[in-house]
Amino acid sequence: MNKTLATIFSLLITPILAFADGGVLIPRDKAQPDPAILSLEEMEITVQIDNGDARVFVRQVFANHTASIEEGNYVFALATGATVSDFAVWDGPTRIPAVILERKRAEEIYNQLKQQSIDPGLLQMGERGAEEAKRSAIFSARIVPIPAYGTKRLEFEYHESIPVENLKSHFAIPLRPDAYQAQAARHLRINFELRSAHAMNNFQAAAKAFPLKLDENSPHLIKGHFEGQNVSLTEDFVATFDLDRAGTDTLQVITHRNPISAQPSPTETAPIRSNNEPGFFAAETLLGSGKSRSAAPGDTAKDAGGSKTLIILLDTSLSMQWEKLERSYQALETLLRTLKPGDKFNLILFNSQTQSFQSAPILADSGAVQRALDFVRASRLRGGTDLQRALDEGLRQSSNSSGKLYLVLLSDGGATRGTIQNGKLAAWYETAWKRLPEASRPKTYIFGVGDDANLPLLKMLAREDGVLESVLSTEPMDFKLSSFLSKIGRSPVGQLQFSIAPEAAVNSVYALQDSAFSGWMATWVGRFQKAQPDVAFTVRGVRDGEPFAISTKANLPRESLDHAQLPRLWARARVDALLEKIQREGEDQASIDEIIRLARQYKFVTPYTSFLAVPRALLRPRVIRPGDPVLRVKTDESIVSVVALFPFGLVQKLRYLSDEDTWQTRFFAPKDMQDGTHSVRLVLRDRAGHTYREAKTFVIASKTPVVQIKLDQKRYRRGQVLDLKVAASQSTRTLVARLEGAAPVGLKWDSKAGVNTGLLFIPDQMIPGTYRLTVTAEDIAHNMGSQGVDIEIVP
Amino acid sequence: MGGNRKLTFATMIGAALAMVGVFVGWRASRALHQSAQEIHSEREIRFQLRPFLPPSNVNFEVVSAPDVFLRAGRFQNHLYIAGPAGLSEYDQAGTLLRQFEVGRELPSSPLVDMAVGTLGDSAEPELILGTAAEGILVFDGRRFRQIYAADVEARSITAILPVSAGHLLIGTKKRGVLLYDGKQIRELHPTLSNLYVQALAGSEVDLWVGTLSQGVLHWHAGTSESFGEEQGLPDRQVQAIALAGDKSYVGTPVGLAEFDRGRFSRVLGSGLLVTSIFVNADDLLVGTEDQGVVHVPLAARRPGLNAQGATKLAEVQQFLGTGDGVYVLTRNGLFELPAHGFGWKEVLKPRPAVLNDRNISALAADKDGQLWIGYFDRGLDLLPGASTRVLHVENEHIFCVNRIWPDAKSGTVAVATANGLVRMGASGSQQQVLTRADGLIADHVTDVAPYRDGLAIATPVGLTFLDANGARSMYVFHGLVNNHVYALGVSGDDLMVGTLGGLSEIGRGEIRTNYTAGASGLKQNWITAVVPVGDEWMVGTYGSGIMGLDRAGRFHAFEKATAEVEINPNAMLTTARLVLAGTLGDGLYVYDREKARWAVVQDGLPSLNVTALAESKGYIYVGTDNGLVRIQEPRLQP
Repeated sequence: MNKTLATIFSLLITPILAFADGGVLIPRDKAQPDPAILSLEEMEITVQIDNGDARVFVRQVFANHTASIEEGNYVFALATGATVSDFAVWDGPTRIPAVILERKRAEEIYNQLKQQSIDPGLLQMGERGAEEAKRSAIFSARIVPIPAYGTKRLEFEYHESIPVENLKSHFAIPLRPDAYQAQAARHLRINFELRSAHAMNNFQAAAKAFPLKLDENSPHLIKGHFEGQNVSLTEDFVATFDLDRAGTDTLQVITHRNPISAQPSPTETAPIRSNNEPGFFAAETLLGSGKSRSAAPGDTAKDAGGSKTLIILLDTSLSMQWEKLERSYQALETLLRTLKPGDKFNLILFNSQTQSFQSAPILADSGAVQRALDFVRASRLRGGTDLQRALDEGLRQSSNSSGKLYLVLLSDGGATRGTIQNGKLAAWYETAWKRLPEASRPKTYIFGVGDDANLPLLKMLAREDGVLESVLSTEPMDFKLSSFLSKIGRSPVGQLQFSIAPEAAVNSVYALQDSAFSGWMATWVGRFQKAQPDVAFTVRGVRDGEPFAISTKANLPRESLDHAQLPRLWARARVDALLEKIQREGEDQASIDEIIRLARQYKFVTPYTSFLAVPRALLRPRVIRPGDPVLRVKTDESIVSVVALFPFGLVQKLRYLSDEDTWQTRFFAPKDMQDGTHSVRLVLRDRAGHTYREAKTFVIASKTPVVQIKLDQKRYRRGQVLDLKVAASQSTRTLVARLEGAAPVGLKWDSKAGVNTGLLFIPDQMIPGTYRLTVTAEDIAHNMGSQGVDIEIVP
Repeated sequence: MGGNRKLTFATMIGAALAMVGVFVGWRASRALHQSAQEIHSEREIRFQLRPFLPPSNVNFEVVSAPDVFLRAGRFQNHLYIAGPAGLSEYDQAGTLLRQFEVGRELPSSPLVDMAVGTLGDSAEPELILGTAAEGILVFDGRRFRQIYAADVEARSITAILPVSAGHLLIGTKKRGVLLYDGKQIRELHPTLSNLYVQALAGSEVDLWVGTLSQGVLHWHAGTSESFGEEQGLPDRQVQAIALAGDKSYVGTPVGLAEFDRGRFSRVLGSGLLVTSIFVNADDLLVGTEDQGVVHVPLAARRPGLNAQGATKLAEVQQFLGTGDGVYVLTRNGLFELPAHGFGWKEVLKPRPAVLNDRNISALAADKDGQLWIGYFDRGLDLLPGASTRVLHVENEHIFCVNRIWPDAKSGTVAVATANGLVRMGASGSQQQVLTRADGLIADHVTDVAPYRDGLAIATPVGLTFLDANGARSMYVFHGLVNNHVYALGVSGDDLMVGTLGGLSEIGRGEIRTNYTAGASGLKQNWITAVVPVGDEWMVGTYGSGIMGLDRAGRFHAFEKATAEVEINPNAMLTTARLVLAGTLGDGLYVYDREKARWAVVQDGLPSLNVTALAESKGYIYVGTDNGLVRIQEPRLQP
């Protein structure tokens, strides 16, 4: 026996593995891209950023170098908030595009196709299981057939909002592999275009592997391209730019109107073309700092002054297990370590119960911070989440506190006890929050974690003078965490309102942000039916206690084909508003019908629609869940027999568990089976007698990761940056360095240095002495290994 | 005269040349012979041919478990059926005449193949048996002899094929095809080496070799030709081969391939998970894993399939052709298809057994002396003390059992399974199922132990404490040495948590110390069992045997038991006199607490993979992956 007890299963295209891989095609039965089988011959990336909306179009051609027909799994990691808008596979000269359909209809077609041994590759959102939810973060589709010595062309398009914070903006395409070995493109071309109504400066495209040749670099338009042969995709494509401070507190309006309706959908039975289609606009203002020049936009680290009191609610329910808890803890540790000596905090752990670190907030000295962190480590996870009880306790403690009050919630927002319905819970919180005297109302700052985070609820809770930041389980969190932390101590612009005169000129206007700070771009989108000149647009708000107003005038044109993203941007905002209405008031058919219509018209996935991606992939079992030594497989209901063929000769029938709708068996791997990735093959038979073969990988992980810290020196000064180099076992998935008194740092693999690297900042105020630097590695099986070294901190 | 001299001279020259020629020829022949010998010796495998003598003084009693039929054959007018449990002999009426059980009359290794043939070292046909790890057994009707290769890989048999001239072809897991000629064992040919052989058919000069992952190889005319999916085989894994005239049929998990005169011809029975093949005149009988026996017509252009007895004939193992008809051997019986009849008729079934399965994973005795037997994937049996009537429980939760813990206080029994923690009444009634939905950190429970006023529950992702205040969980984040918990040991308020990455010591619910290999003296991180023994702990590991841990936190090694041995998860038991530990492949380790000495017991065990232990009414029960035995404790002498 029983090496199997340390075995974990993973999907061949396991979402938890795929951190950031931009378009890899993994051959069947392989865990990594293999250019000897399928190589990336051509890759063309077209980026068009138009006033905060990025459209990324990727065209790839893969070549099959074998004499047999191949199949592969296409994987593309998406950033938070990115939505797939198109996907197509070319079958010879025929383009097979994806289609958006009503979810129920999509599922019917999906099931019909499966009966014919065809898997159309269904992409949905809003699934309850974490594994399912992860699929919306990782786009994947089975690609078959790839002809022998032939090529396969794929096209993929997504949209992403590019926020502006502190007058800075950041855009990235994830090309650098975290999960797989880097793939190389025999020919790579990147076309880049950036348009902004506000003047830009300091544009940088930092990636060394793809130096962008700028064809135009003006304040409102930047165009460039890169072209290269045999390019190794070892870096993400990253572009950053600043918005000109001179443009703050100005309002820019862009419009789009194509009065002629688009081509009808092939499924429409009696299409009528219209020549009076509505127009769309976006009004954007770059919020300045008003009179308070001491806290100018861009000065992120500057506190607005005065000490703060933070009531921190940390979710320790079972649903937070693994990455969510680790990330929340990292956020908590970083938050506590950035508090100033005069600041106060208290910590409330919550699950089905609440547990306070202290009865009331205490001063945030380093001893208290360490005790609070130990308090978390000494706690235990419990099933059930009573978010209402936690918020209630937070508000109670807030009402007894003074100063600048913050209620910081670190959670996935999955309430299972108390009031659990999103709309009701948000309404209860709003009432309870407003019941407090104004001076005792805390700003509600929320850091949502996890791919299945209940963002609609968290978004509604953050409306109480707060802000919401969310991070997926698999995406790097440094940027988002620092963005979140930079807002603590600062106040959002209050009572932000948008108005238009004459009011009747437009309809259905939506804000694209729930809150905004100085240095942010605030945007509203709306629709108009008739052309009209000299419409007045005004933004009002309160900044540092002072009311302000920003106005401009613009024409609403009869026809303007620029800014083609606006209809889709408006449709998304409209759907978000309808979804929130449903959250608050329950479903109504009119809202659902409108959501389906808009989603189909503008091609995006909603809880009521699905994306039928690729009609041609073979039937596959949907989920193999982690767990050992048990093999569990979910299949379609037509499957009547599943047999596993193990690589060591065992042939094992799986048993169907009707309660869980899952097939299961367990097995012993031989003692001499080496650690690593192995393949188990499944033979599935359906009612009609059709037989299907599937290969899934599993990992034998019987050893914990080994960590080796390499330091040039053992003595450091306060304020110095510790340049960390750490070697770790190949199975390592995450690597975190911790030093008491300093914020933890995640280390990343540096392919050039051949080692994991990271920078750890030793705080200026650290007390001299000997400290233990610990680096912890975690592998895919959540096995952990660590190494600690003592270092000396001197003044 | 001159002519004679000439003749003499010529004769001398000729003789000299001839001598030179002979010498050169002799040198060349010697070199060739030497070279051949060297090649032979390189490919030759050392072995012993010895009588197999059953161990004497076997004090273990077998608790009967269902027979599993694997291979059948006629020998000396009797029917013999081989399986993991051993060999059974039946007369023509189906009456069981003799049984030869593994661990007793046979070595402690399951039988995997059987054939009748005349070997080079014998004049008469004999029954030849392949074992999973103990080489070849040959039975002449009275005695067994063993062909025991020195190399463990040459003893791991997968298939056997007696061929002409007294030779035996042997398929192995790693060394490919071997040849035994009565005097030596050697690799048949370098092209047939280093293969995982699944099936053999043909002869020494025209041989078909089915492999696990490299398709089928056809060895003929001194060369071997390989056929995989590219050449038309439905799958690279070969399950069975049958030959008939110029035709060869190769079965795979997704259909058969027909070869005509060694060339791929067509695919038949597409989609069938083939386990065995029988060739009739007009059709094939195809035995399958999950569809019974399927008739595959050979003449039709698009062959139609006709499945028979899918339910009854589960897991077909082998066909036996006779003049009267065809027999099919399944895992659970022997069935006959009369020559002109319809339907399969059962002619032999396994003898009744006390237990419901052979693969035991957990054992426990409750306060009433009832024995609870957990199976690897077949639920559990409850064996009342006073009778042999067994209650079998198997459902969607009680399926893969890891541990059984009877709570003397409440009279309930906690069953740790891969699908939750199940609480059962003493009568075997299911009272409660606890899963992740109830607060456990995972559904899969690897161990359970009473701790303070509740339970400690081990899972592959951490540890849950369950008491009147509900469930609370911890894992590495909270300080546990590793998430993957295998074993729990309790002594008062102290809880030892054995994991994949070391040992955590918990006192009053808080982590006190973590032990990992290296500095602490622990030789192995992977901890599989922990039991308190007097003032100290004994810690079972996967790879370094058993170690002692004293109360001061110091590890110490044991003579004999701290060795390269894998202790199975939770396969340790402490009695007043003994400490016992079940191993993976090395039998039972027994420690005399008074003499402080370890000994190894192997004779009498149905398998050397000892997976579970229990004590009840003066007996020690020893569970293995191939059955259950018991022994009166005083007779277990280290």
